[in-house]
Amino acid sequence: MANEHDEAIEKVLAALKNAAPLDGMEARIAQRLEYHSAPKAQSGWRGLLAGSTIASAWWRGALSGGLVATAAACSLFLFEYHSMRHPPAPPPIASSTDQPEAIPINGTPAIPCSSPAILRAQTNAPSTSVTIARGASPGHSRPIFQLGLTSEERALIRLTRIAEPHQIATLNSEIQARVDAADAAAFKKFFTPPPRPKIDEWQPESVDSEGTAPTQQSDQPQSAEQSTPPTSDLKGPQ
Amino acid sequence: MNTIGEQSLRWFSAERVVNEPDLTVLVRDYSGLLYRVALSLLRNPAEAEDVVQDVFVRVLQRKQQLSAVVDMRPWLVRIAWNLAIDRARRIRPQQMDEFFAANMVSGELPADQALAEAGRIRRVMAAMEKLPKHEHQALLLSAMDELSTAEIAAILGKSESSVRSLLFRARAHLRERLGD
Repeated sequence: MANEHDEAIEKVLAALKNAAPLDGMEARIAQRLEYHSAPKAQSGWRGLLAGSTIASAWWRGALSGGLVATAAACSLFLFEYHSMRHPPAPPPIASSTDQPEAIPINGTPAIPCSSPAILRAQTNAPSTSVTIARGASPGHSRPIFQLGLTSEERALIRLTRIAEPHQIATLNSEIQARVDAADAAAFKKFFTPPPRPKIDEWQPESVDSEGTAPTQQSDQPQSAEQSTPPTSDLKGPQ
Repeated sequence: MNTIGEQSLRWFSAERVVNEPDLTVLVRDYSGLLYRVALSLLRNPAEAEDVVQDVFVRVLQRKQQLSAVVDMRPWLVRIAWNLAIDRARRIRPQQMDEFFAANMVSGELPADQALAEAGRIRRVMAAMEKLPKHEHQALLLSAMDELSTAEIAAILGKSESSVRSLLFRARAHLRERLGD
């Protein structure tokens, strides 16, 4: 039995001893050695930069890093300098003189606006007769931002396209004030407090022993006759 | 790993100056031995070849120092041995034992005998794997005919008598484990 084990051990060791390498191993080793040795042989300047060991090439790494950082800083400075010398042209702003041509109002001459955010409508003209902007018509797909309008102007133009005439009319401050007053009156009427009940109609629940009703606490001044109820009705038999 | 190579250089450095050896000659003469040494530990042919390539790449990096190496064979085997140990920690060579054992069996045997033979070889390899580390390493290196006891001692960093003692104990332990 021990011989069989020895035999098995020797067989394994023999297999390890006689193992043949894969075909072409030497050629692959030579290829890899050539790969590792080729860059250094072709260009000597790589050896100058890389260095044989890290300890000896630290200054080369520092130098190359400094050069890269300097080049980046110079390029950034040049870019900023060029931007300052040649600033981009500002977007065209629509002047007041162009407005009348862009926004004519039907039937009335356009009144130049001191504040471009407020659009004054002289009449309740239907929105379809209002020309919004040059080249822009209801249904036209050209975007408004090409005219260089402010956000308020763009909102107003959009409102004229989609809002009802009575909604557009409320842009007028006078009309808006009238509408607000009417709304306030309607609100007041709807929520008018009920009339204060009279004292005679009110039956007091608690009466003191003398038969006098508790005095009312009210803000309105009362006369002496009204403050105390008649006692003849409340006194009992004596 | 660099310190091991440098330690080997100091160990084997001699007073006489030897001409710088040609790498091509080294590959031709020692690649087979290095492959078997790596294969004994890794049991994976592709991994063993990678180890051999790594060995010669390191030799290339220390080409200027090769003239200080007296005996090239144990120096190269030691580099390959340490590289294989590092790689064996990652790849778990036990996974390849079944494939390795099947390849060891002769193709002339009938299927049932081949299967039994492969099973026995696997048991031996598993028992070898369970040996104490130094006994296992001494046993594997002793399988290489090219390496003498002195060279095995130099590779393992031990004396010759220790290597003989390790080999004796390794075989005794294997017989015990296989007899169970």
